[in-house]
Amino acid sequence: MHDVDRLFRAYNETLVRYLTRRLGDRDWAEEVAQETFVRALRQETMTNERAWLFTVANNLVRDEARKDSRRRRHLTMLYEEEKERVVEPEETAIERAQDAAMARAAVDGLAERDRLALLMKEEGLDYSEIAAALGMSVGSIGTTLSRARRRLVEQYEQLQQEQKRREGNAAS
Amino acid sequence: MQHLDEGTIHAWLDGELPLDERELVEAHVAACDECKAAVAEARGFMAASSRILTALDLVPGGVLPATTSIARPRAPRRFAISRAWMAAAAVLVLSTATVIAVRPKREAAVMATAPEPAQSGKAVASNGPIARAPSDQMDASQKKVERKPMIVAQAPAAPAPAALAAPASERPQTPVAASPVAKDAAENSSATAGRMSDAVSTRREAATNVGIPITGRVVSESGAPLGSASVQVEGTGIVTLTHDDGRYALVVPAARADGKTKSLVARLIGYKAATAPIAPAGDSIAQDFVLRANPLAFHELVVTGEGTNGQRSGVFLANGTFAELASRTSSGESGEPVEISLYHVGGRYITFIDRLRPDTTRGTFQDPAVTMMEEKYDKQGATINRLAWTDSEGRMRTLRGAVSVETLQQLKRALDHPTP
Repeated sequence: MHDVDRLFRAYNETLVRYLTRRLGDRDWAEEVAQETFVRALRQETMTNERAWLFTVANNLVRDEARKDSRRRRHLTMLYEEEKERVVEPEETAIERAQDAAMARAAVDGLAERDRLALLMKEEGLDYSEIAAALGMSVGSIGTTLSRARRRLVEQYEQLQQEQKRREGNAAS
Repeated sequence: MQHLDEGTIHAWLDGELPLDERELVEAHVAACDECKAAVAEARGFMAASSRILTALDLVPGGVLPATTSIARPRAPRRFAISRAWMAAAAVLVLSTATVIAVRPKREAAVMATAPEPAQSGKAVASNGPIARAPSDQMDASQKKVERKPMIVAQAPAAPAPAALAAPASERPQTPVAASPVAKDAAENSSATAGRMSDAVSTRREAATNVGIPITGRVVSESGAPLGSASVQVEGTGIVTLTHDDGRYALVVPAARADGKTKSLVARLIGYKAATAPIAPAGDSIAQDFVLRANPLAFHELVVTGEGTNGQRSGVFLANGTFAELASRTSSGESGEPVEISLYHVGGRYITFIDRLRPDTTRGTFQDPAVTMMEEKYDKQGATINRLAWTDSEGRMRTLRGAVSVETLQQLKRALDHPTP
C-alpha cells in the first residue's frame, strides 16, 4: 500500500501536464491522472513509481479511447462551452489558438511511440523510465527521441510556413 | 570511430550515455566538424520541440488554470534569473571566444523566427513562441522569452572548449548550415551573414588579445561531472563556475599573465578542494580536476546555515554536492551526486536538493503568499519535480528535481534529523 498523498504531491503536476499535452483536454487529463492514483492505491509494489504511473496512465488513455468516445465528446462539448465563457483579448486568443493548433497538429502527426516518448521526456522521465513505460529497450530511446524531435519541429515549421503563406495571400 | 548517429547525439545531450561512451562521443565531437554541426542541429531540435510542446499547455479559453503547480508567480523570476544571469555574464565576460562559437547559430535562429516588419499584428503572432509578444495571459511564453539568454549561455557547455581551439573561420558555417531553421535565414540574408562572420573574427581576435584562456573539467572521483564548482586563480578575483557538465572556462587577463606560476583551485561544498599549479603563458591552458567527496560537509552546511540568523532575506548561502546520500538510495541512481543549495529567506532556511543533470538550469523565485520557493526547470522552462514541506521547527524546506521519491524521502529524513 502506497502513500498516495505523497505520490500525488510528487507526480500529479507532471502527470496532468503530460496528459494535457497528449490529450489536448485538461478535464480528461485530470480524470485519467486521478484514476491512475486510485490504481496506485491498489498496487502492492512498484519498482519505479514514476514509470509505473506513466505506464498506467498510458493504458488508461488507450482503454478509454477505445471504449468511450461518447464521454469524450461530452467533455469536448463542455470544453467548448468553457471556452466561450472566458473572454480573452481577441489578438491574444487568436495568437494562442494558432500556436496551440499548429503544435497540436504537429504533435498528432508523430507516431504514437515517438509522441509518448517525447512527452514523457519533457516531464523529466529519464531513458530507463521511458523505456519501462513503453516496453522498449533503453538503447532505442535516443533514436526514438531524435526522430520525434526532428519530425515535430519539421512539421511545425511546415505548418508555420503554410500559415504565413495564407496570411500573405489574405493581405494582398 | 564512425560518425555519431542522431540517436547517440540526443542521448548524449540528454545526459543518458554511460561514462565510457560519453567520453568517446565527447572526443569525437571535439575532433569532427560534421558531428559538431549535427550536435548543434540536435540542440536546435531539442530546444524547438520543447518550445512547441509548451504551446499545448496554453489551452485556449483559460480552461487550463494558471497552473496546478503550487505557485507560479510572475515577477519573482527576476530573483531566479539573477544567478543564472551571473553565470551567463561570467561566460560572456570571461570567455568571449566560447560565446562566439554559438553566436552565429543563435542569431540565425532568431532571425528565422523574427517577424517581418511589414506584417500585421496577427502575422507577428503566428511567428512562434520566440517572437510572441508577452501578455499577462501568457505566463509561460513570457518566461521563455526572458530566459532565452540563459540558453545562449548554456549552449557552449559541451563542445565549447573544442571550438575554442578551432580556427574561427571554420566555425560559423557548420552549425548554421546544419539547422533547418537557420537555412531560411541564410537564404534570406546572406549579406547579414557575411557581416556576422566579420564580426565573429573581430571578436575572436579581441579575445586572444585579452588574455590566456584556461579550460577544463571538474569531475568527482567516480567521473561524474560537477556543476557549479568554483574555479579560481588563487589570490585573485579571477573565478568562474563550472557548467552542469563540469566544464569551465576562464581567462587570465594579459596584464596578469606574467609567466609566474599561480595556483588554480577548484572548490565545491561537499568535496575537498583541489589545487593545481599553472603558469599563465602561451596560447591556452587545459586543467582538469578530480574532487574527492567530503560527505561531512553536508551536515556542516546545514549547521552553518542555521547559525546565520539575521542575514537579510533572500540570501543564497551555499550550495554543494553530497554524493553519499544518493549512493545509499535503492533506486538505480546510485552514485549520482545530489546537489544541495541552502537559502535563508525571511528568517527561514530553505534547502534545495537536486540530482545534477546536464542541460538543466536552476532558479529561485519569490512567492509573496508563502515564502521563497525554488524551482528547477530545464532549458525550455519545463518544471521538474519538486517537494516542499515545513519541518518540525516551522522551517520551510523544499526538495526538488528529477530524483526518485525514495531519494527525496531519504534526503528529507537526513535534513529533518541532521547528525550534529
